[in-house]
Amino acid sequence: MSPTRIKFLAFRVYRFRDRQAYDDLYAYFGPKLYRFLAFKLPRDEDADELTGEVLLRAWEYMVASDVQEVGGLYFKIARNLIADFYRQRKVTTELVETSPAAIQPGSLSEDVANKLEIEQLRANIKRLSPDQVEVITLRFFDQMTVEEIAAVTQKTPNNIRVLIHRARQALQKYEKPQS
Amino acid sequence: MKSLKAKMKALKREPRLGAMSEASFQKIRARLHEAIEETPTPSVSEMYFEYLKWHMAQFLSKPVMAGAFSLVIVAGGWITTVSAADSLPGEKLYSVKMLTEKAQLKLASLDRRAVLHTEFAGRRLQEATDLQGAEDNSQNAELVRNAIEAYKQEVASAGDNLRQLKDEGGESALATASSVSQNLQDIGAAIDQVVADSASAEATQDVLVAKEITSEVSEVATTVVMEVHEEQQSALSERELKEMFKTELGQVEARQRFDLERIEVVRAALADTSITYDGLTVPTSEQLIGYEYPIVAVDSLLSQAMSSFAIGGFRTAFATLQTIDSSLLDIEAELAQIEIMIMNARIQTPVGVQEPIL
Repeated sequence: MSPTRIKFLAFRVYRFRDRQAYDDLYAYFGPKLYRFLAFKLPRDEDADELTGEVLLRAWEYMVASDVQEVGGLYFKIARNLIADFYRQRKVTTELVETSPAAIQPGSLSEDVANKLEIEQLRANIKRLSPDQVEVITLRFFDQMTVEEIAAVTQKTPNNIRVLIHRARQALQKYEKPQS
Repeated sequence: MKSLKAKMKALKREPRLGAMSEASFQKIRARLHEAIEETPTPSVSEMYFEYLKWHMAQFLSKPVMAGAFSLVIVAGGWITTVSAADSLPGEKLYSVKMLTEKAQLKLASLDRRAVLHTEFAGRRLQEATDLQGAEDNSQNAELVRNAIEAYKQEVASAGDNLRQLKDEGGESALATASSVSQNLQDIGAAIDQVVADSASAEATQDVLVAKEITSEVSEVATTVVMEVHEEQQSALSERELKEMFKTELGQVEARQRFDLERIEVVRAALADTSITYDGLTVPTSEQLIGYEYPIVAVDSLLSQAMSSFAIGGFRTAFATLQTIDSSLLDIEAELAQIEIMIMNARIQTPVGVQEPIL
């Protein structure tokens, strides 16, 4: 979605409380927000809950103020809610995660290899710093441009490029088989 | 072997890698629809037209500075507007400046108009200051008076817009009141300087009246923020109130220090025997103490205001600040008269007597 369209949708929300416009913003940002939260929270249910909460709080803000960077607003609220989540529940980030999906019968070795690869990638991503997790998922999973990521994270494009580069290097290092 | 980028792209739909399931997407959407009521809206094309108007108004409402003006519109009118930005009343391009401001107001929404009026008020004040400082003062007195009148009208219009916004229940009343209040605080500080620089009793009187109007509209802005906070009790409105209180408190303290310094200067001037005050009413030492005492007493009122604010008595706190503001205004008006008298006496001191520097 182009930045102009995002700004227009934000204007419709601000000036007309247009729910359809907000639906369109949700369709674009919702999955990205969900993924961001999923990597930071212990369970899918928590990511569900907080995604909804972010969107509702952002709505209240957007109907009252002219928001220039909608993505930036969503991710800022998300970061604050993540901090609140851990403060309230008094848990650390190292939580026991829900178990991976069961392996279906069929081509067992291919399935197993696939699932192992996925779990390995997930584990490797979670070893990155919070900033690196954020940019690498937005860039390679969600296909956002460096400029879009800069707007969402309120960092400079150069900063984003450096973070992506370091995250890639780290992931490649983690992937190398142990000798 | 796939590159990391290609691998991640291929796996982007994996739930274990954060992909949102359709079920989650719909569940959250349903939650949003339950919380957000659907309201009737104009057609998309109408909304787009409104967006274009608003977008243009946002651009035009930025202060027009010759160096920063980079709008690429090929029309002679825009080039003229750049040069008109610094023009003063009486100059050829001043009418263009006024037309540009009128156009900005016409395109602006109600909340934006309130803020624009305070920005234009600041410009009128600057024009009055520039005219007063100009070499050829003879024709300027009338222009200064007109600029000050225009200033008063701009501030009054800002106040009207703010009241209207609050009455209509505008969502942006809080943010607008905050911006208006901040602009008026800055203008208040600038007015003190204009009074200090003015050599004419009439102009000083005009400016003091302008300051009174500024204070009144400042009160309106504060009242709007307080009422919004009482209705919403939100963290945002509380933060705005705290910022406004802090700013007003700082201003009052600065005025208190400034006014005490002015009294010291007056005292020193009156003690200077090289200036003659024949036929003039010179304040006595007791009278000067009479001005000083209530200014010093402001300290205990400030403590009261801070205590009230700390326990959530916002109305009481701001009312105390307004009481301080009124009493300082009265004292400042009298001080200004004394200062003008001293300046005129200096000018009329016989030739040959060394004039001291005040």
